Amino acid sequence: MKKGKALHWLWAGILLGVLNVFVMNVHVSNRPIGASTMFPYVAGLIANLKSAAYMQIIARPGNWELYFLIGAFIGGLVSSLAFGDFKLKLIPSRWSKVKGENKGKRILWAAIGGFLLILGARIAGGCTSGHILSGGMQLSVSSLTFGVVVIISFLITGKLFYGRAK
Amino acid sequence: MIKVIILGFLFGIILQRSRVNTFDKIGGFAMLKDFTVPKILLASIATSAILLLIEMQFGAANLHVKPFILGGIIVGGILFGIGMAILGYCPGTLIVSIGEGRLDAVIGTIFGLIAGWIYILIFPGIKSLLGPNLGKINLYSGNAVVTFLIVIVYSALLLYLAFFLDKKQVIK
Repeated sequence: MKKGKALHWLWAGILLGVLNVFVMNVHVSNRPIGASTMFPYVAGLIANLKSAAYMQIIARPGNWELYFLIGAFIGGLVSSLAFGDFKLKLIPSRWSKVKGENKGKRILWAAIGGFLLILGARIAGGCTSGHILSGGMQLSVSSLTFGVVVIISFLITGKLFYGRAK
Repeated sequence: MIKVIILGFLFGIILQRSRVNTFDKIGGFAMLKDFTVPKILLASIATSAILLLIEMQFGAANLHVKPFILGGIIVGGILFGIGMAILGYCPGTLIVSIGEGRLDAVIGTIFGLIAGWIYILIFPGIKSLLGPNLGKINLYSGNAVVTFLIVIVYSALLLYLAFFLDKKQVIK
């Protein structure tokens, strides 16, 4: 199948905004979109740590985010199959242009990156969804501060790690 | 449960169709080659900030502001930024990208789960180190009209920034 045209950024932003306001409705979920709590929640279920202090705190949001992300996974799968974007692939094309085709290198950095990403999200209490999108929607001081810190850290890391990308 | 899966399904489709879930967009932003990520985030926040205020006027939504725990926000934000730049995905887009068949997103998720497991174990020890907790504060005013004006200006500034980044990308 021929690849579909990407959804324009403005439409994507508006749709995501409408979705978040819909999720916030007291008759829908009465909470904003979020994703990173799923990770300790599922890890805690696997490691059988249900009685740990943190697991008790995140039981409700963790459960909600697990089902939300199951939906997101299905959405990504169905949509990528329907529009011809689905592909089993380890090394992203933009990565290979800068870092080459070495599989071990991509695996190593994806592991380190994934670890820091979730550790950081849990220490800060949110991620791009829960802090930046949802906190930004509510003009939350914690989330706006998080957004500024993340952008600075993200761009400095990008400069140091990828250098002057071609 | 089915309801939440459907909400997530819509989230996944929007991210997938805009391609914002991909390494090429997120890693591309870290390389300053692609501004799709900030443009979509800014447009989403601008739209939802105004709609949420209207929704709350009808009593159909409540605020869910996260507490401003300064140390946690700064330390966590720095680690999150480093991880997102190197991995090229954030927690939500990671899962959408697995749906697209991206194996590096599977690796990132496995190690994210390990980080989550470690966080459960260290939480009792570090909980007190993250403070001070400055409360669940946001930029709303006590006066409804002033709050409305603040949100309008806020959303206009974010949208302006999004279009500014869009222009910059076209020139490049």
